[in-house]
Amino acid sequence: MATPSLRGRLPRLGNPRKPILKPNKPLILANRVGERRRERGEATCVTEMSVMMACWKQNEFRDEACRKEIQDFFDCASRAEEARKRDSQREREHSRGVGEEEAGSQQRSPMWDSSPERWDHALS
Amino acid sequence: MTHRFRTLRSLFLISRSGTPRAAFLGSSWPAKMAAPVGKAARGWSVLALGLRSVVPRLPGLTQVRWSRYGPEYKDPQIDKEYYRKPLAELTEEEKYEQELRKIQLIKAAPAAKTSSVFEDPVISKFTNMMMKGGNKVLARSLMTQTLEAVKRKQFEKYHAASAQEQATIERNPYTIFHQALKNCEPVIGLVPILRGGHFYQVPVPLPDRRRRFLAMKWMITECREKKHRRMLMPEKLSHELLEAFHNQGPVVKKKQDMHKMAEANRALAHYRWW
Repeated sequence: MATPSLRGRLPRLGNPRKPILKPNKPLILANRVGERRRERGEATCVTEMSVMMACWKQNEFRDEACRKEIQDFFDCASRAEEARKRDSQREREHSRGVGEEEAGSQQRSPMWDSSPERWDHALS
Repeated sequence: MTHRFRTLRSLFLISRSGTPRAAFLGSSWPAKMAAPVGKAARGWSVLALGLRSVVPRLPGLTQVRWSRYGPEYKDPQIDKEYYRKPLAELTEEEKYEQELRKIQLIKAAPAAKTSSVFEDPVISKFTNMMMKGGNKVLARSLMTQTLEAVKRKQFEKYHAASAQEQATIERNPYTIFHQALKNCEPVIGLVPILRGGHFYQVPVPLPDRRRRFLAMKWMITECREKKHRRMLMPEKLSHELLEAFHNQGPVVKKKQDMHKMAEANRALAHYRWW
């Protein structure tokens, strides 16, 4: 399909009708695409939490009776926290280190590497 | 950005509208951030330059919490044991660090921190939280009066008790204080998460410092608000601390209410993404 028309869509002095589009950025193609958005993780330590809560239910929410479950929950939480820190460190290093060598590694889609056009670009 | 909820780290920023917000940064960065204006005047070391370039400038936020120290200044080592270790026992890293400290610039230690044997970080933190309007003298005197009151009450009980019970009565006010705060710490917290236009209270594991903070905050709030106006703070606090030490009283009840709410909302745990 051809590019949809922009005639009479923007709020301009010469345009007598109400504007159809009100863009907050200039309608110009930039030299980059947006960065890869980190996907949402999932809840960690849910099993330990449910085990601890079951223990609480049985023992009327007394902490002394559920020491072991509480300790397991804390250990799981600290492990998850460390893993998260490591991941964010690794991501920061990766984006800083690799970004300078292969500019736009995140800008290229994985499909580009296997497409026939890539080989044409490589040869030319 | 992962943690949006109340992570008070070293960098304090305000948005353009002027409301203070705290930005979360990694733990490897120096504790106090220097003013960005006087950069050239500070005498930057090569290492510090590398650290500074990493700091992200979040849009719409300006730095408000300043420090007169540049990033090359290191925090002072208050702990005497660090220096008492014999030379043979130190690892290569520690020897290098000690040599480095002789040359590096070091900040002045804050007035509240000492290397005395009586120094207790938990007591200092609690005193700071009790302080109003910067009146540290009053807060500290209240703290000492509280500990004295706790000790007096326990000694009265001790002298009135029989020989078998005397072994079970704890008289050291510091152990009572620490145990009482530990009994008040919640294990799990609730965080409001927006989903489908509604805020749900989702159970969430809390970091250690948040739990300690909540215990102290609840203790102080309970004493300030729920007690009779004419009762003095040391009296109220000593009573509450002793009750918390025995796992009774309103602060421990508040912690258990938090646990009960978390247990009731356990199905919402999957709304978390961390």
